[in-house]
Amino acid sequence: MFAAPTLGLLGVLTLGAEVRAEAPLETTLAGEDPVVEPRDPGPSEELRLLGLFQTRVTTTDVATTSPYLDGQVLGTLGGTNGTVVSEDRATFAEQRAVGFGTWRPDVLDGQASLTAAFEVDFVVGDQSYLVGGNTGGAFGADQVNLQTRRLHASFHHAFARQSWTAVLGLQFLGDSVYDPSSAHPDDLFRTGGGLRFWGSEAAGLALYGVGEGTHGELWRARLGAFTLYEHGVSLDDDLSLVVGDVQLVPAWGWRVGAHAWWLRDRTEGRGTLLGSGPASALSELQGGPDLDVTVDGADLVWLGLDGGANHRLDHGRLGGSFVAIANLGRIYVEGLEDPSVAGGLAAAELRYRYGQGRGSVARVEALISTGDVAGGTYAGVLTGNSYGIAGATWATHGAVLLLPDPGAINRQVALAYDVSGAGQGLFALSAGAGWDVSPSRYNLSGNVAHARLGSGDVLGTELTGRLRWTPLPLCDVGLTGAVVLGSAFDRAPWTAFASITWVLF
Amino acid sequence: MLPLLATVACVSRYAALPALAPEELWAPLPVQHVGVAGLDLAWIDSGTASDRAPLVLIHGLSSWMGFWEHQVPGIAPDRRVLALDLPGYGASSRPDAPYTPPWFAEVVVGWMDAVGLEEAVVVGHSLGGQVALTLALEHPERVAGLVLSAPAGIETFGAGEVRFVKDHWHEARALEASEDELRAVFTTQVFAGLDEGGERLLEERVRLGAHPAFRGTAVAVSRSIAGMFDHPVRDRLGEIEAPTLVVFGARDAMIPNPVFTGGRPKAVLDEAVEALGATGLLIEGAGHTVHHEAPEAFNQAVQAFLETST
Repeated sequence: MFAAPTLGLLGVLTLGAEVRAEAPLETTLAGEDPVVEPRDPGPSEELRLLGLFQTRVTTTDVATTSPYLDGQVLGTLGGTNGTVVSEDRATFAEQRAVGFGTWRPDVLDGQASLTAAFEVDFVVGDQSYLVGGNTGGAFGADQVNLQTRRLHASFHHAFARQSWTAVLGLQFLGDSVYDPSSAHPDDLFRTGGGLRFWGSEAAGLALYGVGEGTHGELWRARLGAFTLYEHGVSLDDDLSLVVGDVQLVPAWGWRVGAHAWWLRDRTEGRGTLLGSGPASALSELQGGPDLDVTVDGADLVWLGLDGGANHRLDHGRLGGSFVAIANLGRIYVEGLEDPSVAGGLAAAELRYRYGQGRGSVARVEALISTGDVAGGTYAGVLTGNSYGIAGATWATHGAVLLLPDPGAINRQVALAYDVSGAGQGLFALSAGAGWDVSPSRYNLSGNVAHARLGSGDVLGTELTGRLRWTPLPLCDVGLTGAVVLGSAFDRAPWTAFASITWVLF
Repeated sequence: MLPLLATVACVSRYAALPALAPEELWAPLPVQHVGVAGLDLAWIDSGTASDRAPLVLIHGLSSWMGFWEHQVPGIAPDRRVLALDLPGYGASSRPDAPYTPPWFAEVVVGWMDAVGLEEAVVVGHSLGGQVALTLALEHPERVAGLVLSAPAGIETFGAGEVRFVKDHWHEARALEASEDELRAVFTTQVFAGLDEGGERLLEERVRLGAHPAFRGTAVAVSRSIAGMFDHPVRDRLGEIEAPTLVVFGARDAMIPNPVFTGGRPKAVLDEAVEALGATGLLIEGAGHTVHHEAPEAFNQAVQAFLETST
């Protein structure tokens, strides 16, 4: 009577032990057990840790002339951040470390978790000087520089093939339907607005839902409300963003999404040291519009459609995505008729994995945005770059100087820092190809990107080359070189850097 | 975009179909059953009359006999060709058992005894390759030759890497895969690209996953993975004297391990050839299930190998 369970237990106990040929076969079998049931649930996931470590050593002819912006320098190359293309070569080293921790108490069976992430950025040898956050790499630098990137609770609930997650607190605000705390990077870079509109931290409440059919995902949705700036707690002077997004999966690997976001701005241009909004110095610094008015506030709505197939390239060799987003609304100004806003952006990318390895991919991407101010209407695009530092991060273009380098640490400058093209409109075309010389070990890639403003003025054409070595899983050592030809500068901007990017998991 | 559109338009959703019982899995020949030490083992047999050593085909992880559709009997028309479902997989029983390569090797020996095979050319794919290697090490008298299709057991892994993979592949993990995830895995990892036969295997895997018996397969998958690490053969390959053919697809996305090892399949093939003193073949365009994706080239290579070596 006890034979079957006893033998079953014996089978379990022999796991991991040396079962050699001389061992009688019968001793390891439980022939009367019809089907063994899974019993091992795997290790506890109560505490999950993830880390990012970056080091970059750069030499470039791009220098900063501002005495206040030695450490962290963002924005338009040649713009109000004081960056110039110089005969003098600048060489510097910088580092970043980010630790993510999620505590998911076992006793709650996965129903709730708390996530925190803290970042330390610095330029090696740079002093602490109160302006700009990313300093503290000098001798005795322990007085500065711990940045909170995440601090939020997540509450999970699943029922009837739906799962919902409410994220409350300081979190990453993207412009797609995916929950950034669990999304693949390509979900954020290649769906929705692709972080071209919103891509930074914000405090608020977001609700993410996923619905599944028998075969897999059917739909996703996001609802969120964020307070981007709060001045006087008793005053109606806030900057608030409400987002609503939905994505349907009509067929395996395909998706189509719709997006509606509403920004309510009553800040009168306040928000950072450089102000905020489309008439602020902040907007100008980061490549957004700099409207020549005194802004009281604004009500802005973004309406968008996006779609694509196989955007992670994990369903086959070919993948692509597109997005079209219009921003509409009205800006409230002092003493003048309130100008309206009516602009838009369209972008599309196609990728093909032509060879073995995740890096043997060729891609082409095009982006066009409207611009200009005429007849009481701002006909351009508005992004988070007009409201935060940095408020948006376009990451798929492959350039590092012509368009903002998503892998930059403290010094991220580009000729076209924002997809609005400084409010004039932007046309950008990029194409590149990588080759896994040895899959998951050595990769060579090249990229060409061209950008011009809506006025027709050419910003330049960047040629970029990279060599990447992956000595350890998710640890890349890279060499990158880039030059921008045909720009308005007297000299061709160029940069070369060696980098280490290590994701600890 | 048009090829992609066409592909997607043809995609079916198998999860909406009825669950498939293990005994309903398609096999290239009528399935037979035999009892071995309390196990019910499913197997097929070409029945070809020949005085030459028969071929025994052992499938890979989370697979079954249907993955040999192009080899039974095409791999050796002039010989008897047999294939079996390892315990935990296909139409064989799913007991509470170790599911390690040495245990599988003992099962295969027991099955060979039961069906009257004294000696065979053992053909193994992936996990089945490591089982075949183990069999050749522990029972060399039963192995007239080895044909290894993208075999596991050649690569080596660090202790931390092993812990990571074992933790990931706990006993319920295989139950979590949706049809969409399985399609992605079949399209990019199991195969370099799905053909009609691969599509049928995917349908069977999806529908089998909805059957209660698959809970036992999930356990077998977890323990098989752990077993491959716990019972390595890499350092003993030089002991194998049986003539050996090793075949890899040049687009294999599973071996070498893309996360921990990297590189190209040719490097693993060269390592296996050197360690085993084997004949090697790299088939361009084929992925991890090389015998299914390039059956003509694979079968021809095996026939040439059999002519000269066994």
